[in-house]
Amino acid sequence: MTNGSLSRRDFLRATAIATGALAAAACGPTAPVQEAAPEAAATGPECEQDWVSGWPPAPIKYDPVVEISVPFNAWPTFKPGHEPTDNPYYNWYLEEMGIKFNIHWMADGELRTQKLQADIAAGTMPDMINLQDPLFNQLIDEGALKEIKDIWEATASPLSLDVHRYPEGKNWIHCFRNNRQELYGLDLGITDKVFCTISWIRNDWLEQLDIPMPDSIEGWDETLHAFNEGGLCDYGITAQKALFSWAHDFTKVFGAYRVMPGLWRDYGDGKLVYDSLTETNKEVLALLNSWYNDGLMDPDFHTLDWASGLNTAADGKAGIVTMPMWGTSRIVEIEKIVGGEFTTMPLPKGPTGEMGRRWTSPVFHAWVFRHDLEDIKVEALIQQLNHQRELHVNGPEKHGAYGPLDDMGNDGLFLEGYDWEWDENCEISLLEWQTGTSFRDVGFHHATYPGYQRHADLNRQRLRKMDPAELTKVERFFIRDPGLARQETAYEQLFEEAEYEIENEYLGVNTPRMNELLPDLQKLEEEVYLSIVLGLKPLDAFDEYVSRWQELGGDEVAEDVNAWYESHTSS
Amino acid sequence: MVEERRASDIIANSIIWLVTLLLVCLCVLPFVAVIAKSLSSAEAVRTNQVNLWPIGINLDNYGFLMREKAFLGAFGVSVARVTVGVTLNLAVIALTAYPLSQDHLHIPGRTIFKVVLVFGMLFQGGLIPTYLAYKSLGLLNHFAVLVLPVALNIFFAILIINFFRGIPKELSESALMDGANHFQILFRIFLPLSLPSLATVGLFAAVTHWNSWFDGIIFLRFEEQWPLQSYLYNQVTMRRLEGTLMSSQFHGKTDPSFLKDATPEALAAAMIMIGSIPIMLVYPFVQRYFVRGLTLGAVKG
Amino acid sequence: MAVRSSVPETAPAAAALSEAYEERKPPFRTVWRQHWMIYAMLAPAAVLLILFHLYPLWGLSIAFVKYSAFKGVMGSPFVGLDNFRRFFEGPDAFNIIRNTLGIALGKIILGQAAGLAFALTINEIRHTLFKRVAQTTTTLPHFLSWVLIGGVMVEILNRSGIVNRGIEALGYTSISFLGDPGIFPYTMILLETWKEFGWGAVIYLAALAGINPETYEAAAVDGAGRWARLRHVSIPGITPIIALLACLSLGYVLNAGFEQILVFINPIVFSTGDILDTYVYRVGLLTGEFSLGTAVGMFRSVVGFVLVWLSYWLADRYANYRIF
Repeated sequence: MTNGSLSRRDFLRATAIATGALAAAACGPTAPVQEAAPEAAATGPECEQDWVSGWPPAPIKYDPVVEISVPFNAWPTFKPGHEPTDNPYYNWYLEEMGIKFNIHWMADGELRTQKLQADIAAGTMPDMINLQDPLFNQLIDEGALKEIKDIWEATASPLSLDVHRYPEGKNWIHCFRNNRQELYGLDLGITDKVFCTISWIRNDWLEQLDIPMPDSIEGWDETLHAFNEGGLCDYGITAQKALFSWAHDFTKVFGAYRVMPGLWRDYGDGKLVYDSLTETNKEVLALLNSWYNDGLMDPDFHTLDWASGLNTAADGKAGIVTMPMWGTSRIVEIEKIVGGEFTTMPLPKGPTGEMGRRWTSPVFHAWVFRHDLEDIKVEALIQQLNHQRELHVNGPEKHGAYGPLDDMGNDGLFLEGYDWEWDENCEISLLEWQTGTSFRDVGFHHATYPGYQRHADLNRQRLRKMDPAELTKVERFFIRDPGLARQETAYEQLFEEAEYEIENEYLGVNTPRMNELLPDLQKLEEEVYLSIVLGLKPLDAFDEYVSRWQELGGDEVAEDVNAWYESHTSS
Repeated sequence: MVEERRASDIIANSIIWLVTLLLVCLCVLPFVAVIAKSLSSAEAVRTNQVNLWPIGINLDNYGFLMREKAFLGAFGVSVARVTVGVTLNLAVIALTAYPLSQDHLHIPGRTIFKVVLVFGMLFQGGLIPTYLAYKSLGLLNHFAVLVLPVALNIFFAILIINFFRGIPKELSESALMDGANHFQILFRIFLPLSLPSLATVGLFAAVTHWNSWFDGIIFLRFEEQWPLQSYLYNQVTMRRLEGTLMSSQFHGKTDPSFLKDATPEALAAAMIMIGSIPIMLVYPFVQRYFVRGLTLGAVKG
Repeated sequence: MAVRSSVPETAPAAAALSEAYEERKPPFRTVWRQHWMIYAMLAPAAVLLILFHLYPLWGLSIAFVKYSAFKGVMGSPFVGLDNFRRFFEGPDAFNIIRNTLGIALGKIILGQAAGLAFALTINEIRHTLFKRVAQTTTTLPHFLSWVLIGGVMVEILNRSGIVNRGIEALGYTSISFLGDPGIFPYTMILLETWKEFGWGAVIYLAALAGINPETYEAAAVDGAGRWARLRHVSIPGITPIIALLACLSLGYVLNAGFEQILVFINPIVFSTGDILDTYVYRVGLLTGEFSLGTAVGMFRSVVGFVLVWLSYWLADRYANYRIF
């Protein structure tokens, strides 16, 4: 809802995680797992490494060391002997840049929210943290955050400013106050497609039943029924309690009807309306209810979260699996478990035969700094970002053949014995891939920028055109890896379909009364939508929902949203 | 007549046995199902075939846990918590119960102390005030937060006060006459006499400590500091398990045979079993002592 | 709490009080010289009481301001009873209070009845070993945390769980025990009863064991059958304890079971499953409405305190029971 629409509860949690835990847990291992041959390690010493390991040189080294407390994610799985505060990444920043990251706490998901709120209650915030609205607004109002416009503009490299579209990008709108005189946060991440989902279908089942790839919502309906009735799976499609989310969600189904609950949209009359209230949603809810009744979803899906959706897929109980865009590696894993083959599905057409619509990622996040943080620490963090951008954008071309040929999760040091080892042919064989992924969200290590996902793909495409003999072993590895190739295809489709995205048109700052009203409205929506899908409430409950929404103050919210919209469009 | 009585008695007896047996099954079978699941093959668990008997014995789930540093760490924290926590509990309880049971000494201030004690037992500040208080006491993120705030278990203290009251005051009076001081009386007379009661309270305190999880989650910042039950809440209830397992499996690539047969559901079952075993070993004793202590108390009045 | 016998006697506290009037109080210096060790022994408890039971109460002041940690309680704007008003006038208050009372009352009534019935049932068993085994196994769930029980029960009660597979095998449609708002509170009550009935029986069994065996024998000689003995000996014999537990249970009517609900709740059942304690946790700590959460928590603490106090008073008056 409004800002919140972009940040409905689970989604909110997701964003918290997406910078790190999940994104990396899943997007880290993009390449399929290769059975490591234990004896291969013995041949190691004779092989020649024909590329440089490491990162571009640090832009600056602080002496004495700058200590910064940041939250870490709760998924650290390091190689034995390594710790979250003692591993190649941590040590690189410490030794090369003079930045010492202290763990403020380690949590993700609901726990992260809880830790953060407890910190806010007790006034013990970390030096820097990624926040969503409405917390962001509230903390600015309370004077808890540092104003950083001057430091940011003075320290950020031209590259950093450019890739993050500063200051014109719409991701910055909510970070500014006072007519763009003050800047309280850096909206760097998650802005682009991280939350877009890709639906995968069991291709082997399509072939077995001799049905074509469904490209419309009717096709989805028929195919799911065919899978289910053909006895191929217990259910049909993965689902979880959040109907709109970044995994196992139904935004594509709503999109096929050209509605996108949770977003504020301008239907052409210069006014923003809350799309969850649009009448068309009833048709979609009716369809989802019929799927539920026909046993196409886990009967308990409303008590499960994303991870269980993954489980449904891994148990072979679903033919259509909706994954986060960065979930290709998980699909590969699932294929190995269930012994099937998945293919990406095109965005489905709607009942009228017109192309459907897709949801995009929200922009309402910001990395913020505690109000009393010394300038030098803000500066050091921005320098870390500069280094990351240099590495990621220019890495392969300017700094030799290391760096990210894969996407963000693995923009690693790519260390021997850690990430890879030699196989018997003196080629790279993947090992654990844990360095980059386990350190992912410390400071700005995992901050993303629009379109970054394609960067690695474009690099690989460039390399493929070159003479293989000129390539280094690491380059050859990245272009021959089948898992990455599949991800490349999936991303390509995802970016091609970008023209069908529906964007949230409310980008303003929530008013205090909105912050007060939104949680209840959101709870109401969540409950009504789910109840209708589950058949606990009749379809007519939707109309009651619309009037109840207004009763609970929805009209006031709409007023505030439109006040912002008017001022925004007129300026 | 007599035979009729006997027949109806047999019927009544059978019904009683049957009902009791049914209730026993109701309490035991869920745990049997968990054991079965934790020992079954991944395939059987995935396809939902396991009921009360394991299908295709598989120890990978337990193997996984034995290698999972976080799990073992949490188990260790729980053991430490129980040891330190119960010792503190018993020490404080004994020290508190003795003075408050010596009504005949007419120590000034004891009534107000008891009132505050009962008030403290019944009135809680609530989540946020408590959090802020612990923060200003510097307890947050320390192991101490698991044992210190609950060191004075008022409920158990009252139990022991009432027990100490049953010890004849002549014993302590004559000891005082003989020149013994209060500490000596407590340690030489009261404690030996109340060992069974203290053991009961100690076991209860141990169970309470073992089962607590909310405090760990709220007051400790790192998962490594958490006791087992907090860890289980996060892994099983919040379903973090799938992620843990997947990434661990993924990261375990160096060993191709690495527990490929562990599944999230079965792993959860194994965790639940290991979390329950200490309780299952201890609780029959707790129960027996409790009943005995209860009867004693009732007789003493 | 020790359960006292129903034999009338002077309560020690009252006795102490009256004695205090009779005797001349010795001067404090004398007491201190003789008994300073008594105070030394109480010192740890006093410190713990002050630090962990009294000091946190200061934080309740958050309930009366619009709290911001960065301004401190003193610097945050004072809003009087606005936070309480916001809760009671808000859309959730009615549901939450209803759920709390409903679930708690259900647990009290069903729980006490089940414990009593079970105690009377196994009291009839003469076979000592079976009796002991039955008693021990049925108390097992009481000793396990809701986290563990939750892990066990979610698997069993979900739509593809063993219970529903049984229901379906019998030809009925499966039941969403944890995901249907109409059923969720009953599931909570039943689960609590399942967890506690064995333990609840322990106290009744102790009381039953206290009944003089001769009373039974005399009744048997008079020709009383099993049923008659149950009605005329067993039940009257434990009536005091039933009365006592009934009085004490008043103190629990706001205790709907925080840990249990937190483990099982999901968004779809908020309307019938959200209770005061979970609300305080969610609003106070997850949504970050510190003042609102503290206000609701305080409301719950105060009312709960009054209820427990009342229950003690009732227990003292009608069941001759005192905690001291």
